Formats: sequence, C-alpha cells, structure tokens
Amino acid sequence: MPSPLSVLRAATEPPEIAAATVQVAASDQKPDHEELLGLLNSRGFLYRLNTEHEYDVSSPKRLRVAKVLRTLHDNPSPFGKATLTGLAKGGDFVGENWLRQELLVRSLVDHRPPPPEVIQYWEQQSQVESENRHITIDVLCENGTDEAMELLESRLLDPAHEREYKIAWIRDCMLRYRNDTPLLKASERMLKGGLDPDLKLILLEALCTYSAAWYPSCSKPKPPARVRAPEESRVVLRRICRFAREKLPLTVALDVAVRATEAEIGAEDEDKPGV
Amino acid sequence: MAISKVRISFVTVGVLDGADLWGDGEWVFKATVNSLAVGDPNREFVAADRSYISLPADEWSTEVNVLRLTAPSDSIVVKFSAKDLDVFSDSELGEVSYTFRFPFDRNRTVYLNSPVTKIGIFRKSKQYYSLEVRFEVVEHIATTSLVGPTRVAVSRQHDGSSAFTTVGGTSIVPRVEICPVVPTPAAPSRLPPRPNIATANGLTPGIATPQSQPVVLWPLPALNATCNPSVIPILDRREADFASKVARLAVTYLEPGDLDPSYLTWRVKSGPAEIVGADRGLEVQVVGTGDGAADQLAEFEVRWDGPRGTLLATYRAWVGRIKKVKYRINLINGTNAASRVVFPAQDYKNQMLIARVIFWQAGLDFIPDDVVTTWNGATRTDAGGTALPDGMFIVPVTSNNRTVNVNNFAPTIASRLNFRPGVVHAVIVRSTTTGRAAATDIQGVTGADELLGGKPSSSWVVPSGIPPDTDPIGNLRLMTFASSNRPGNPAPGDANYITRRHAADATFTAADMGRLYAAVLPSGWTTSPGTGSNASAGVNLAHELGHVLGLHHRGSGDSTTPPLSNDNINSIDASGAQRGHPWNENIMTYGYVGAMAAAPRALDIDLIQAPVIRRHPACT
Repeated sequence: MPSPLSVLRAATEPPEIAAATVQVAASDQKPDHEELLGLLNSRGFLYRLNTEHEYDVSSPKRLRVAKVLRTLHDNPSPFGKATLTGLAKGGDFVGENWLRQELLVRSLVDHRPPPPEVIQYWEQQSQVESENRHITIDVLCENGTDEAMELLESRLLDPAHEREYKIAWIRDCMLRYRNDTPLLKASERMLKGGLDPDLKLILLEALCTYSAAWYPSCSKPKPPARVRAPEESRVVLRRICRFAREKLPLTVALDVAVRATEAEIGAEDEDKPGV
Repeated sequence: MAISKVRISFVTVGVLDGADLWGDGEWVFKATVNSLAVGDPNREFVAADRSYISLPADEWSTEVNVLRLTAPSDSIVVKFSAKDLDVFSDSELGEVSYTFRFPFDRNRTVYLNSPVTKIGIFRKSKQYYSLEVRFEVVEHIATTSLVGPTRVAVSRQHDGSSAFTTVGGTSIVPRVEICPVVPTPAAPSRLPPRPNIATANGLTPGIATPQSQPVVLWPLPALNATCNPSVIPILDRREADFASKVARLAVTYLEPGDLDPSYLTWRVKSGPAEIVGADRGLEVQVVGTGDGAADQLAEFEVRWDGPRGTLLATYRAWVGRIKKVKYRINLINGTNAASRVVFPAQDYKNQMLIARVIFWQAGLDFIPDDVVTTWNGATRTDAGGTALPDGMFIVPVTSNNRTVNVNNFAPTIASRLNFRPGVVHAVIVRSTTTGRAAATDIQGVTGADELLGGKPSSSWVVPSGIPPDTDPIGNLRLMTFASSNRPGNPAPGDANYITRRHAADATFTAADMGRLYAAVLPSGWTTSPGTGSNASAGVNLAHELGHVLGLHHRGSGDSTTPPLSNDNINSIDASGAQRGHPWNENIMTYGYVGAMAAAPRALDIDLIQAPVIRRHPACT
C-alpha cells in the first residue's frame, strides 16, 4: 500500500489532493508531519487545494484545508498538535488570509496547556484590528487554561479594546463557561484588581445571574447549568460572592443575585482543603 | 374506497446549522421501511455545512402494499441512519425513526431531526442532520363491501336538506378547511381534530389541495402567492397588477376527496371586504374595502351550493391598507477581496424580493428607500461603476473587522453605517462570528403582549373553534420583543458617530439612533457562491426582518423553554403535549433550514402577529 505522502505527491485534482492530505494529517509518523507542515506553509500547495478566489469568498470551514486542520486536531499522536503549533509560528498558511487564520485559531482550542507559540498566535489574532478578535476571545474561554485566561484578562484590562465589546465577551463567551475554575479564578483576579469599576459589576452579574434582556439581538447565549459546576469552581465562586458583598457597591438586584448564587452552590465544605 | 398502496420516500437530508463540519463530509445512509432496505447503503454523498442532499427518488423510495393493514394497530415503520466516513474511524451520526399508523389515508410529509450524538473524542455532542420523509397514497381500490358507488357525486345535498347523504344512506357533512397557515402545518404540529368521513363511509379519502402546499419562492412568484393571508389588502381594482396583489382565499383540505368544488360557495359574513369575480370554487379573490383608517376583522364562510347552503368552513382575516416599509440593503465591504460580500448585489436584492412576497400577506410592501442620500462613503454603484439595484448601497470600511466576523450578539458598528432613521436595514457583512444572521437593532417596539380572542383561533391553536373542536377560551397572548435600545446599549463609537453625523447633517440627533432598525446578515449565509437567490436565504432575511419589526421566535425557532415558543403561542402537538405552534410553518420558526432548505415551509405570518408588525413605525 503506498504511503499517504506518495499518494499526495501523485494526486492532481483538488479533491484527490485534499483526501491525500487528510491521510497525511492522520499519520502518526513524525516525517509525514514535517513534510506536511512545509506543504501547508507553501502558497503553491494551498492553491492546489483551493483557488485564490475560493480563499476569498468561501466560508472558512468549507475550505478543503479545513478538514486537514480538523484531522490534525483529532489526531491522537503528538505530531498532529505539533504541526498545528508549527503553523502558528507563522508562514504562508496564516499570511494575509483571515479564513485560514480563523481555522487555525479554532484548531488550537484543545492545546492544553498551550505552548508559548500558540499563546502568541492568539495574542496576534485578538488585537483590536484583527478580523478574528471575537472568535479568539471565544476560543480562549473554551480553552480554559490558566495561560488562556491570562490573555483573556489582558484583553479585558486593555483600554484599547472597546468597552462595548468587553461587555459582549463577558455576557457571551465568559457566561457560557462560567462554571470553569480557571475562568472563575481569572474573574476573581479582575474583580479584585484593575478591571473598570462598571465592568466589575457587569462581570459579577454575568457570573451570578442571567437576563435575556442583555442581548440586543434575537440570538442569545445560554449559561451552563449551575448544578454541573465542580466543587473547586464552587469554592472560587463562593469567594467571589463573599468579596462582592463585602467590597463592591452592589445594587439591590445584584445583591439578591449574589445571595441567590451562594444559596445555589451551597455552603462551603469545611472538611475539604481550599483551592 | 380502500387504500391499497402507499409510497414512502426519503426525500432530503439537511445538514443542520450546528453540525459544524470542517470541510465536506462523506456521508452514507441506511434506510428501511418495515425492516426492508431502501436505497444503496454504500453510496456516498457530499455533506457540506448547512447544505442539503436530495436523495434520488427512484432509489430512495419504496411502495408498500397496505391492503391487509386494516387493524388500528397496523403501522409502517421507517428508520434512517447516517454515517460520516472519517479518517480515523467512521462516525455514526444517529438514527431517526417514524411510525405511520393506520389509517393510511392521508398524504403527509414529516421532518425528523437526528438525535444529539457525540462523535470522535474531541467533538461536541450535536445534531447532525434532518430528514424529510414523504408518505403518499398511490393507489386505492373499491372495497369488497361497498357502501355505495365510488366515483359518483355521493355527497350531494338533497333539496331542502342541510345534510349530505351517501348512496348507502349515511348522512354526512363534508369536511372543508381553510387553514390560515400555509403550508398547512405538518407533524410534529397537530391540526384540530377531523371527523372520520371518508373511511367510515367508504368514500374517497380526503385531499390536501395544492393551495395548502409551500409556495415556490424562486423564481419569484406573484405578491399574492400565499393563500389565506392574515391581512386582506384594500386595493383599487383598476390597478394594472391588481390580479397579482388581491388576496386569495382557498380551501386547503377536502373530504371526501372527490367532492365537486364548484358547489363550494364563498361569502363575506362580516367586515369591510368583497369577493372579486366568481364566488364559487376552491379559491376566490377578496379585496378589502373602506378607508383603511384602522384595521378591521372580516369573516368569511364557505357554504354548499349557494349562500344559504350548509355551512362548511369559516375564515377570518384583518382588512387593512397596504403599508409601505422602506428598506436599505447596505453591503459592507472591506479593503481586500476576502473582506467583501461574496455574492453579486442582485442576489441580496432577490432575497429582499422574496421577503417582500412573504410580508405581503400581512399587508406590508417592502420598497426601496426613495431617499438616496448616502453617508459613510456609501455608493450606489459597484466597483465597476455599474448602478446597484434601487435601495442598495456599498459601504466601504477601512477596518476589515467591521465586516469580517462581526459579533452580532452585540450592538454592531456595521448597522449604523449609511443608515437612515425610520428605514429598515438589511446589513450584509462578509461574515459573522457564529455564521448566523441576527436582528441587532429592534427598536420602535413596545414589548407589550398582543391579545387576540375569537374563532377560528390564530394559526388554529387548539381549541380552535373549528368543529368538532371546541371554541377558544379567552385570548391568545403573543409576547413581543422589547426594544434593544441602541441609545442605552451603544455600539463602540456611537457617540462620535452621532457628533460627526450631526456635523454633516444638522437634522440628525442622538435620538435618531433610536430609529435605527436593522438586521446583520452574513453574506455567505447560503452555502456557495451563485446561490444567493435561493429561497431559504430570502426566508432567512424575512425571518430577521420579522424580529426587527418586533416578533419573537415561534415553534422550532430557537427557544429558551423548548419545545414551547418564545412568543408564547403553543398548541397541542401530535404526541399530545404542548409545543410551539406551528412548529415549522410560521416565518418566525426555523422551518427553512436543514431538510426544509430545499422547499422552505416557514412562510406564514398569522392573525396575531400581523397587528404587531403593522404597528411598527417603519410601516407607514
């Protein structure tokens, strides 16, 4: 049986090339991935998968290279992730095309912990002017590692990012992961630290309650069920609630929400060590 | 009559919106009807995110002999499963099944959503596909114990009688329905109960009329393509295009199926309306009369063989003047080829024309904004200098993230570009973060509940008042959108924008931001270039405009309390539980994606929704 790489070298039609590339992406052999990384960083190879026009007008997930990245993401061998990390370092793949950049942002979501190259890539992709800024913030929340949370914090603390978008991130992607311990710890740091005072209350509100009225559009994100929050998240949330009641200027409604959250997550188990 | 043969067809597989496919999937299907295989389980189909697969009819359908299936417990069970052929391992995408139960006397189409399935180690649990299954009666034969002749007019009324007598001597009243929801709701929705006429008396089974079927929206049909509108427009009969605007009222169901429709006589029971032309048949034309100062309800009847014959069906609708809704379609283009809208401008215009057809049934006419003043560098020509269709503008932006991956969960910058207060805007951006469209600026609305009582109930919510169903109890209560309040929830830079806009136009003030009405739609909502004119895209635009005018989701539209409607309009469903109603046939449902994208069913605007959208300040 010919190796995936030899099939790839012989392939001429885009669907055939794509199928062979997917097979290479599924390989557990380091040399396959080294060659694949080179190919994916070659403009000539990318245009054998899709035309230049298709890279302009398609949706990212419909590009043929999307399945290659998904396969790298799904590959249980360490080389799949390494190839994705290699792409994040820069090259033709991510050069001047937001569609491929978006695919890579999304493909890196399960790098836990994310290596510095990945964090740097996400940092580039979450700049004020980046096309993929909102998607990167979403991926940071889903990644949920301490490293990703640090970057998220830096974006929320950065005055260059518009307040309105910070509110949207808090009420959308942060709300959807509000049961996650690293996100709660990052929130705790921001509530006790330098986050704008009005954003502190908005963040606290998103951690403790939910209102469909927050969303101007017809599509509304939904928070996870509180009952599914692990105990270590409950510990952090208890600390947040206590701090909020003691230190933050809560409105009556927010005070009620904080107390309701405390009741919902239950009393602290004194027998368990703190987190 | 006895049903002898039915055909079961697996028609369309829709790749669901949330399937999140990366690259095209290679899917294979396995189908059975009463455990017998249908179709080729080895044939591969290309599955692209949010596309649909039409299964070849000759291969994916089968006929079933049902002559001996006459017991109430008899059934036909269909099963269908899909598999994604993947590189590491093939992924089962879940199985759906449906049971067609005796009696097999009615054509119907059912849509089945695959179960939430987890595939692979890393991927999230999702619903991957929806399936359209069609059930058709293809043959019926005379029974061995005839009640009477089968092809004569057995359902004739005797002179001076209010009943119909079969040759066998049984007294019946034919079933005639004028369903206000077109297409007529299918499972999982349930219609009010029907008396058993045909089967019990050996007569021809009932039929759904052609007017009960989904309207084909492209090529563009006439404005009055949808029968049984919620608003009968007041029109001048001398208008040249009167025939394409006048309301059409139509029978949607007849039983016995061979009832002679020329005996069906229509009359206006009450309200400012008149029948135009012939008053007999399956369908009539109706026009509103009066000055239209305020919308009024009118009631209509269908009787047998003359205006004093037996009452067979009733219908009601508002009568009102056509209100104009001015629109702007702003195409937001960035600085490079990857940051511009992906389809030709005419495609988006066509989508608006489809939306116009849909809103006509509520007495709304979407027309291009007649003020052509532009802001924010907008032009009325494309890059080649060709004039854009009326109402369309290209708005250049220097920051590409004003049009790429726009977060339309939040107030957007894109929606304020080249906007004119009081006009409805379809803002087409290159892409959105979720790939979905959203109404972002829902203003000019009160959020107040809309109440409506009387019979027949809106959308025939049960109890409907359609005999033998009982009369409605109290009012239906429609919940509507509260204002998104742009002044209170600004997008980044709104304050500066107001200052600059005021400097350019002294009449523009901060309050005008409260008259921004807009939906933000990704330019590639449909699956591939060149398909921007497809019906599903037009229905999607109409759905978003419905939100802009104040309507919440209905039925299968995303709900915070599934399966109940966000707008609080629910009814008893096929399983006997409460469910949003209709599930797929209202414009505010999602009856236009997945397997329904090929022939959208989400077309109706009902009696309780119409006053809400007609009250919006953009409708004048």
